[in-house]
Amino acid sequence: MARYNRTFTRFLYVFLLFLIAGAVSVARIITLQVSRDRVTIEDVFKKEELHPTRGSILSYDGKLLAVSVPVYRICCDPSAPHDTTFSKYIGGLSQALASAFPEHNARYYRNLLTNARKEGKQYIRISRRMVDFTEKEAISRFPMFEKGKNAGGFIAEAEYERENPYGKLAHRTIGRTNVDGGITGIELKYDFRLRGKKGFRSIYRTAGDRWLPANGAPSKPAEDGTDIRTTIDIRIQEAAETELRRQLAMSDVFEGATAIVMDVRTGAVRGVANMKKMPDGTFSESFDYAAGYATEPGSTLKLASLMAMIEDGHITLDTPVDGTGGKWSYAGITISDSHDYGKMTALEAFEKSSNVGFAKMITESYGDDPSSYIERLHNMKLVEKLNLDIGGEGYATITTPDDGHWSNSTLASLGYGYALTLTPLHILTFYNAVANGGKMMRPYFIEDFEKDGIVTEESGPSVVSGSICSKSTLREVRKALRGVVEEGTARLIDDSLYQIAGKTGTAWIAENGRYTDDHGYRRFQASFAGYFPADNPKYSCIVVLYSGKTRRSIYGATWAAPVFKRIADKIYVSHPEWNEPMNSSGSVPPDNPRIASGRAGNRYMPVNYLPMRSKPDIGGKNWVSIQTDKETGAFVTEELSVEQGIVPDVTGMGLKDAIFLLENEGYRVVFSGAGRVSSQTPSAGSTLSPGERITLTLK
Amino acid sequence: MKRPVLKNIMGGQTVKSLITKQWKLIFYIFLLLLLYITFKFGARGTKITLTANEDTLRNLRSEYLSKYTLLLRTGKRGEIERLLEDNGIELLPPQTPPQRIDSEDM
Repeated sequence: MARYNRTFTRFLYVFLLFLIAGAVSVARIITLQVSRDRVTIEDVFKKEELHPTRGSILSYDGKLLAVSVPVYRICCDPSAPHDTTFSKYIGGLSQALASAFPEHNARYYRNLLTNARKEGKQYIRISRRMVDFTEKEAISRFPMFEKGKNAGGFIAEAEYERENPYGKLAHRTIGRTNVDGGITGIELKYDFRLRGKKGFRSIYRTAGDRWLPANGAPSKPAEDGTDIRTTIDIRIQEAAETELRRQLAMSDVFEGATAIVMDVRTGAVRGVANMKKMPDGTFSESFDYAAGYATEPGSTLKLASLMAMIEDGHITLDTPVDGTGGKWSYAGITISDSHDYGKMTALEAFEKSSNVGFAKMITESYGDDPSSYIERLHNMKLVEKLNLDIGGEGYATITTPDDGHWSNSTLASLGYGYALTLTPLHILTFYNAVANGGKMMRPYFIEDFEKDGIVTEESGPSVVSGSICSKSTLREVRKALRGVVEEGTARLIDDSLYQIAGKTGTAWIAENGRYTDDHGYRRFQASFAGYFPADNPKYSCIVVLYSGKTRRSIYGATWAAPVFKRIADKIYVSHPEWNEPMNSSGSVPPDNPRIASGRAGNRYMPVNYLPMRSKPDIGGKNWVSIQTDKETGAFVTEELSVEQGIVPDVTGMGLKDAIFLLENEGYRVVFSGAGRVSSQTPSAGSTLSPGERITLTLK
Repeated sequence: MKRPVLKNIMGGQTVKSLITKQWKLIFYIFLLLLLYITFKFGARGTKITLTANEDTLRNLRSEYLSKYTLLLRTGKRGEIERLLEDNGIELLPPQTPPQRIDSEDM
């Protein structure tokens, strides 16, 4: 019985213990449920939206033209740090913030953080400026911020911003974005491919305030956007924009301009620049002249007239035509030339760009049946819809005999490039066909679509017409185009290094049906379209400058042709394969070349193959110093030793090798001048710790 | 019968006999429990590493993009020409392309 009582007592105590524990648990549960700070399910388990990365837009060789980069909003939770931490670091932090965000001084940031802490704020924004990753990392190491979010109050909120590494280059073509996506250009046209698809996943909070993906919960990964590889060559694009800007800066008469460069064989648009004058006098790519602005092209279309007349057998290049004193009255209009060219051949009329000559030839050839000329132009795909892969194509139109606008003089006007409207891209497509052996390629801007470097869909070249004319006609018109540069209106841009073929154009731009206003002002369009090298065309190009109202005459030969030439020059210097290679044939120059010290490299270096009187001994060596004996001209080669903590000798090296060597040893390099390293501080052989600075002087 | 059962439960005889007869099973379940907890923490650790690696990858990509775009921006021909001009360096752009040399050795 006693034993029973003891057991029962023990049982009672345990029972009471569990009863109390249960009561406390219930009380706590009730308290948590009614408390405002209670933990809800969202505090420990939530659905997270996964944002896709917008696809990049690339140049033809893979360089980034538009990319989404992370940018960060720097904020602070001033109430997070302890009092001692805050008071200890606030001074240093304020100074550091003032250096990172110099729009305010250190006192401002100190007051901002201190006041916010007093008010119990848990979130304040430090600056309106968004910073990139490198800056964010640097700011995260500031005093107090380096302790993290919970102890230091550092908050960095990431967003993605669209960055164009090349600035405004090809801005019109690439396009712009806003928070909703693309709004112009390729960004808009292919927004549905670039934006990707959102995903989601469930995450739960674990100890240490970590959020981890929940196993087994529904999830869908985000699908990043597709990358788009364009046909743009950034060097050609930059050349086109730079040279166009340079020409526009020479006179304030111009309102806009465009330059397009196309790959002859494929029709790929390697560069397209559009400049429109803004109210403040600067130029920007705010209007698509290249593909969207159709005007009467003027003399550049004499190529089409010449081709049609030769193809239909009406004329040859030797057909005579009379310039009749530089003026000709026909069907109530007076057609005039800038000079009296007298009697000339069709070739000379083309080279000199005689409106009288072409008006006469066209009316004599097609006067009985103008429709056949229109039909010939259509057969040559002159006004063909291009169906551009970036959209925004302007309409090409041609006045026909059935048209209400057709008059007795229209045929003559068509002969020298009026009564039809074409965009610069249409004209260039036509010239490109001439350069491409008669095969007309559709101009295109999109090479392919890629994901993680793998092509998912190819766009690429397509043929509009296998042959716009016969081979014999093509031979003749190419001869005429070359003649324009050799002997004709564009002879100022003829070059002995490589041959250009093309045609100048000067046209009046009609406004409200009139070319000249009541005060005698006109608007001009100065153009040059052509291709190079003429004997084996690789690129075709058109440059068009549009003037405002002026009483001056603006000629294609003086305003557009020089831009063409400068763009062509820049393209030419990057193509050594256009010239025949030099054959060394065992000949040796009398003197040895100067060879810089530096990294010896492998056996395929030019120094191993260039013909020389004697060669430096660099086999098997890593870094070498090469001196030339002043008397004998022989090379004196010495292998350089590179030891950690000792400054290596970089004198005599080029800057690239010197920086490579020194920075790999952990030193910071500062340099001035140009050429080879002539002196260095500290000198070679000195003891210097990594991270220290070395100053190089180049001469 | 109920009284001896209740008495055994209250007296602790039931628990004692359970432990002495089934101690191997109880030990086995205990080991399994330990294993489960170990694996669970291990998996959690792996998930933490995975998430941290994803963050590192994201940060690396961010750093790469920031520096690469800066490099592209400063590597533009126009930028270099402007820098040369600002520093008074009279280097001129090339007028002709490099000359290729045919050599029997190559």
